[in-house]
Amino acid sequence: MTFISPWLAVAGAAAMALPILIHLFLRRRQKPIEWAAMELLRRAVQQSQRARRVERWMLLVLRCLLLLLVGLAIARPATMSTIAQNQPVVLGIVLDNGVASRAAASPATPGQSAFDAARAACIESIRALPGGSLVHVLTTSGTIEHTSEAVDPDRAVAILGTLAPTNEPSRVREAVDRADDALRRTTMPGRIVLASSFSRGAIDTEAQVLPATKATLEIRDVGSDDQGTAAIVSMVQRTLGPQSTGSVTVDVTVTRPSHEQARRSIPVTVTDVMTDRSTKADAVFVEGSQRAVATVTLVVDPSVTEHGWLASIPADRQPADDLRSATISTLSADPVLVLDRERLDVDEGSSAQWIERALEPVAGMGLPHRRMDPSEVRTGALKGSTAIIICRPELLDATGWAECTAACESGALLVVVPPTEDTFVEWQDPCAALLGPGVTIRREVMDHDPPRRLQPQQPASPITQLIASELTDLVAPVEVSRSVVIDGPSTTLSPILTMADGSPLMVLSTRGRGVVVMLASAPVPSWSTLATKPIFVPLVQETIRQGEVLLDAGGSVTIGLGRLPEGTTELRPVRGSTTGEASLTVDPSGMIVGDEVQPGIMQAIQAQGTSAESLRSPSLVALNVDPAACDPQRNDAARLTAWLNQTITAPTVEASTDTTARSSTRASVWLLLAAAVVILAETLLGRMFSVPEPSST
Amino acid sequence: MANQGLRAEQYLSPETLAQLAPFELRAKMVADGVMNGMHQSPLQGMAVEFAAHRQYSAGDSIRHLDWKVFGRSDKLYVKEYRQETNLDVMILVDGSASMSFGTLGVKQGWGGTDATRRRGAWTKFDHATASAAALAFLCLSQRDRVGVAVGADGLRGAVRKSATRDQWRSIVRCLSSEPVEARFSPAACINQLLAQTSHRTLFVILSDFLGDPEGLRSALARLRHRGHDAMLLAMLDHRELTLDLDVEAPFIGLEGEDALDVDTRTIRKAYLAELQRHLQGIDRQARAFGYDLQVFDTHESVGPVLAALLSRREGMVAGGRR
Repeated sequence: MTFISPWLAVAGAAAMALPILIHLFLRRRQKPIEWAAMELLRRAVQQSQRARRVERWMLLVLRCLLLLLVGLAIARPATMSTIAQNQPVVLGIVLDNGVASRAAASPATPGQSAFDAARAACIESIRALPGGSLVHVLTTSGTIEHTSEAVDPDRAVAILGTLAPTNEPSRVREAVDRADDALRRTTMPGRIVLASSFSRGAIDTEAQVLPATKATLEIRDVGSDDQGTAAIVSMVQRTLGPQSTGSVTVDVTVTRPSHEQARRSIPVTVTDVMTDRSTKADAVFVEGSQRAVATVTLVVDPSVTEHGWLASIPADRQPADDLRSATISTLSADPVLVLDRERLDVDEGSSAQWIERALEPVAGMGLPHRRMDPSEVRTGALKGSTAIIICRPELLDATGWAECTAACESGALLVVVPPTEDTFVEWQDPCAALLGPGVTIRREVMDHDPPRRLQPQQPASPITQLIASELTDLVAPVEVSRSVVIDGPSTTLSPILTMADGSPLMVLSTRGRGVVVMLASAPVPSWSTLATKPIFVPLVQETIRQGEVLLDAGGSVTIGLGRLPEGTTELRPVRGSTTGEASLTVDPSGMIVGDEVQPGIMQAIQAQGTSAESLRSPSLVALNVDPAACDPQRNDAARLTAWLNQTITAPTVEASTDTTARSSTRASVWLLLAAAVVILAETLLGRMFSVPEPSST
Repeated sequence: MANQGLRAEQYLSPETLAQLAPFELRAKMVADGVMNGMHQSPLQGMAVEFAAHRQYSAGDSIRHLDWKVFGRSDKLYVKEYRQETNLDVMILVDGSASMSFGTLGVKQGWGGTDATRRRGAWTKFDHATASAAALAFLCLSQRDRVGVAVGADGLRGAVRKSATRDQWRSIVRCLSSEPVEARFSPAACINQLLAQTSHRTLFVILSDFLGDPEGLRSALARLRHRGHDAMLLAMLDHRELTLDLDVEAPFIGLEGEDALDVDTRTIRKAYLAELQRHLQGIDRQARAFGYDLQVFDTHESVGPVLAALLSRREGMVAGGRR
C-alpha cells in the first residue's frame, strides 16, 4: 500500500498530533479555580474521574484517528501494482517456454498453447507499463536471458515475438534468480512477472520453495483449472500372438481426477504404428472408481515383425509430469532355433523332431524354426535368436554353453531337453548353472515303473496361463517312464508341470534378461508319452509365445521427451510414424536437438562403442506424447502456492492508467466512510459522556 | 421618592442590593422592600388578634365587653383575643471562608462586606447577611426580640436579642464588619449561643452547610435538647448548584483544602449527584429534629428567604397559642 500523494498522508499523520497538542496546551493554560464545595468535588472526582479519563482518552484517540483517516483519504492510497503503473519500473519478464508450455492452454482455447497464453500475458504486462519503464526478457528453458541490458517495452515485445517453446524442462527457479539479479543492478524499482501454465512439468519439482526475490514477483497463471480429463497411465501387452494367432491383446489403464465420481466411459484407441491399424475399446469407470482398464485386441499382420502400439484417449491429460518412461515388448523376427543334429535314423523320433512337429504341426502354419548343430554354436551364432531349444545338451561344448548363457542373459528364451541317449558327457552341471544358483541335476536317470502320472492340479504358471482351464484334462493321459531329477530352491525354479509325487516335470527360471525352461523328461515315447498326447503342441507353442513375453528384451518407450537410452545419437522414424520421415538428432546428454518433435515410434541409432547389451536391445523409442496435443496435469493450488512461497494472483492485469485513480478513489471512499463512522462514534461517545442540563435545586 | 415605582422584588434582587455599597443603606433598602412587600399582609401591625365571643360571666373585665353586640341583642358577650406573643429570634450567619464564594459580578469600589471586597462578587456571605438584615428588620417590626451572630470556628461577633429601636442598627453594623475566614463549626457556635440563651428561641442558621454534617447534627441535637426551634437556610451560589463550567483546571479550596485537578465536563453528573445527596442528608438530619432545610440560590432574590421566615413564624405563633 502506498499513496498517490504521500505528503498528504504525512500531513494527515502529523495532524493526528494536533488534538494531543491542543489537549496538552489547554491543560497547561488553565488557571486554578477557587471553589467552596471541595469535598463534594473530591467525591465526584473519585467516582468518575478515572472512568472519565479513559473515556476522554478514547475521545482523543477517535479524534486523532479521524484526522489520520481524512489525511489518508486525501492522500489517495493505492496498491503497489497500481502505483507501479504510474511510476517507471524495470520489469523482469520470465516466460515459461519449457516443453510443457507446448500443451494447450485451456480446453476453451483450442489451438492456443500455454506458451502463447503466457507470452500474451507478458505482452499485456509490458503494454501496461508507464512511460520510461524498461524490460528484461528471460525464459525458463534454453537460453534464459534474452536481453543483456534492460530494453524499452517495444523492443521487449519484439523479442518475445521471436521466442518459441523448447523441448526441455523448465528452469523457473534459475530464471527468476537471474531476473532478480538483473533487477538488483538497477536503481529504478523492479518488478518480476512470471508467466506460466504451472503444469507439473513446468515447475522445478526438485526445489521445495521458489526463493524469495528482492523485486516484487507477480504470478501470471495462464493454466486452466479444468480437471475433467482422464489420463493414460499404463499400457501392457498381454499376449504374444503375431506368429501364431495373428492378434495381440493390450490392456490400457486410464485414470481420472478424484473429483469425478460418476459412471463414465472413455473411448481408448490403440494404433499399431507399423500398419496404422487402430482398434477401439472403452475404459469404463464404475461409480466412485478413479481407475479403469480398456482391453484392446488388435489383429496384426504376421509378415510385419516389429510392432509398436500407441494408445490414445480424447484430450489426454499427461499424468504426473512431462517426463515418464515405460517399457514395451517387441517381437522376434527370427525362427525358433532347434539345436540338434540332423538325424533320420531314429525309429521313435528324436526330441527335436517331436518338438519341431509341435512347433509347426502343419507346414507353413505355426512357429517357424530352423535346425542348428550344437557343435556349430560359436560366438555370434545365436545373435538375433530369441527362442533356442537345446535338444542335445550333451553335444554342446564349453563355448556353446557360454554362448547360450550369453544369449539368455541378453534376452533369449532357452528350452533345455535332457538327452535321450546315454552319454558320458557331463551336460548336467552347465545346464544346472544355466538354470541358476543352487540348482542341481542328478546324473542318474530315474526309471519309473509303473510310469508316473502328472498331478491333476498343476501349479499356475505364466507359460501355461492360456491353457490353464484345460490343463487338468490335458495332463491326465501323460505318463512318465524316465526322467532326470532337478533340484533347486523355489526362489530360482518355478514349476510349470509337476508329476504326481511332486517332482517337477517342467521348470522355469530367469537369467539376466532371458528365460530358461527345462523338461525333466525327454519328449520321446521311451521316456514319456508327453509328445504323443494332445498337450504337447499347445505346451510347446505356449512355451515359446509366453516365454518370449517374459523376456526383458523390449525397447524403451520415452514418453514426453525424456532422456533417451545411453549412446543414442539419432532417432530414425520407423514405418507408421505419424509425421514425416526426418530423423531427430540427439545430443550427448540424451535430449533431442531442435524444436520440431515427431511423435511416433523411432529407432534409436546408437553410437559405436556402446555396450553390447544396449546394442542387442531393439532400441525402439516411442515418442508417443505430442506435447501440443496433450493436456498436462495442473499442480494443485496448495502445492503451487507452497512452491512459489506466495499466493498466485489473478492473471488479469488492469492495464488502464485510470485503474490507479479508480483504485485509489475506491480506497479513499472507504477511508472517508471509516472517518464518518469515527465521527459518529465520537459524537455518540461525546454525548454519552456529556452531563445533562443541571436541574434546579 | 427615589425608589417610587419600584417593586419589592426589585429591591430584594441581588443585582440591586449589590449596587448599594454601604451595608447599612443596603439593609435599609432591604427593610423598605420588605415593608412595601408586606403592605397588604394581614399581620401588619397586628400583635393581638380577635379570636371569638364568649358570654359574660361574673368577674370578667368589662373592658372586653362587645357593646355593639349588647346594643343589638341586649346580651353581654366578651371578646376573646389571641394571646400576645413575643418571638425570640437568633440569626446565626456562617462567616467561614467558604462563604466568600460567589460568581455574580458587582461593580468594583462599592464597598460592601469583607467578602464582597475580597472577591469582587456577590458572595454567599453577602446574600446571607442581606437576608439576615432583612429578617432582623422584619422581626423587629413584629416586636420580636432578635439577635444576630456571625460565626466560623467560633462566634466572631454577636448582637444580643433585643426588640429595641437601635437593635437593627447594631445588627447591621455587626453583619457588615465581620471578616470571612476559617471553617464553620456549627456545634461551637451554637454552644456559645446557647450559653447566652434562656428563653425558647427560633434559631435561623444561614450557611452553605458544606462542612462536616456530623458537626451540624451535633449542633441541631443541642438545640432540640434545649427545646429551641431552628431554620436552616442553605446559601449556595448558582455555580455551586449547577457546576455550569466547562473547564479542565486545578480547583483549590477556600478553606485550605488541597488542590484538585478537575474536568468539570466529566464529573458534572457525579458532582450534582453528590450535591443532591449532601443536601438531602442535611435535610434528613434537620427533619429528624423537627426542623427543615431550605436551599437558596444566591443569584436569586432574598424575598423567598423572608417568606420562609414569615411562614415559619406564623406556624410557631399559632402552635404556641394552641
